[in-house]
Amino acid sequence: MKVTDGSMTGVFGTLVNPTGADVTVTGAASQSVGKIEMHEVVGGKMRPKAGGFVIPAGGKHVLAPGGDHFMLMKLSGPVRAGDQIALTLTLSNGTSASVSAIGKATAAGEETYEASPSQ
Amino acid sequence: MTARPTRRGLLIGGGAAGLAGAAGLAGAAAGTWAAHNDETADDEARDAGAKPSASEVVAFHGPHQAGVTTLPAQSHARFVALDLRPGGRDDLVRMLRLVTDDAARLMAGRSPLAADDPELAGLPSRLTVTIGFGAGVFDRLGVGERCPAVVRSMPAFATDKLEPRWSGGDVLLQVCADDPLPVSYAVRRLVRDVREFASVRWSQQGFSTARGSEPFGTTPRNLMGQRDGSANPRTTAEADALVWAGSDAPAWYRGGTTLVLRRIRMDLDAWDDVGRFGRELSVGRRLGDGAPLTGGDEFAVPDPSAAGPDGLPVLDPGSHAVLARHRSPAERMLRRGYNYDDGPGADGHPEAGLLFAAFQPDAATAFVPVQRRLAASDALNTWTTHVGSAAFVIPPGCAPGEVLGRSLSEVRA
Repeated sequence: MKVTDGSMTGVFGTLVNPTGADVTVTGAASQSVGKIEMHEVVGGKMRPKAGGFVIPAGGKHVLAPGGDHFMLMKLSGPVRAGDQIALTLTLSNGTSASVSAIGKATAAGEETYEASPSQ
Repeated sequence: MTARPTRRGLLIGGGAAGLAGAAGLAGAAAGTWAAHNDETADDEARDAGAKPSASEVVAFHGPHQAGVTTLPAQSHARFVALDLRPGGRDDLVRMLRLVTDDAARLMAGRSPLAADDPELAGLPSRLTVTIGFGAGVFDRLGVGERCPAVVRSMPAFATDKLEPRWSGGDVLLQVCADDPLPVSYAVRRLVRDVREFASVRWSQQGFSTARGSEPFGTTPRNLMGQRDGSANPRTTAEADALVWAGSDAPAWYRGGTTLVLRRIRMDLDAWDDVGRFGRELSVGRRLGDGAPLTGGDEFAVPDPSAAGPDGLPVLDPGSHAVLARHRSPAERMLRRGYNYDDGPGADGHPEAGLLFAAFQPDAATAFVPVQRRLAASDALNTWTTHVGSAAFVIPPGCAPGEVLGRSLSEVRA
């Protein structure tokens, strides 16, 4: 999770699916975040990802700057380095998963994402 | 062995022959070549079978922090002391959360969050990251009275020549591995994440013998040539029983320990020029095998009362082996030191010595009385000078999802 003084930030990481069936993340929520969207970047433009993030059976789905990510909107306060936000992911198989995001000041691969706010 | 020496064998053999005298040239060359060949065969067998040692990992989570009773001690280390920047308790907790998360990932051979360096992170070679707390952490957490007095203020010793640039610090990062590359990477990533919260006070790099260069359990040598740490516990179980604070300790400290780190400069030029007899008398041990001059093997207890044929004590009462040895269980320490060598100075003299690192539940009853004895009369004081000193509480380990130092920081929520 990228640190920010603003009201929104991105969450990056790797979603792992140890089960034998594909799983789709259909939504995410957190007590300290007003709204969380799932985004993709297509042709340099960020937009909501239709259908959510599909994690293949026994595989993983990478969330990275310039690619798929969770967009945290309407934050209740700044995200500082080392801050922790608990997310609950809603899954297509009817279960949910808990994820803990930690604020980091830097992110590998963020340079294009940060340098071109129009993306 | 009738095989013809190879070019490499001759080169190595040439060195050996130089030591033994020119007459031994042919034999020495052939013998060395054979040894070299055996070693190559061993390497090939290792490569074919076991996983490369670089993939070995040490568990981060557990009741104790790693890097203390991790045996044998890894071959490389860097100690970094941090000074906390002005801030509140919450800033420190955020820093510890980052360090905890980074350490857990790095030790498992993975990049820290938001880093993308699987090549650098993937060969941890028994990487351990150990966190220590100086008095500044206790104060920042609002529990200053819990900081042991000896950690807050180490007593001065008569022979100290301490320099601020090697002394003190609020937070310690001890990073060890069998390969200097993962040590470098881990230190770089950890410091990058903490520098918003703290400045680097000092940084010291140490090395020991390469892993596997001698049989498992062999006591490494320091730069004076001694086997250093002969009195150490020899198994992880013994080391565990020695270093960790037990049920008699305050709840927050149970499973923790205390590190005393001393930078001991060695006057190696002068030491080189002392005869072998004088060196062994000063150490109280044979340099070759580390055995006390009173006999037995390296692990035999030196006997200060033993007399030689002339009726005089065999051991000099001021010899290092006599004075450094614990005189009660409370004086026992786990010595886990590393050599340092900053290379020759402009005048050509070595700038080298020992990063003496000792773990014990209570430094006031272990390191302090032993060092008092040594400062008063250790024969080695002629060639050694303590130029740096720092002490840190090593808080207990943590479980997944917890933050290191939790036992201390949650005492007062």
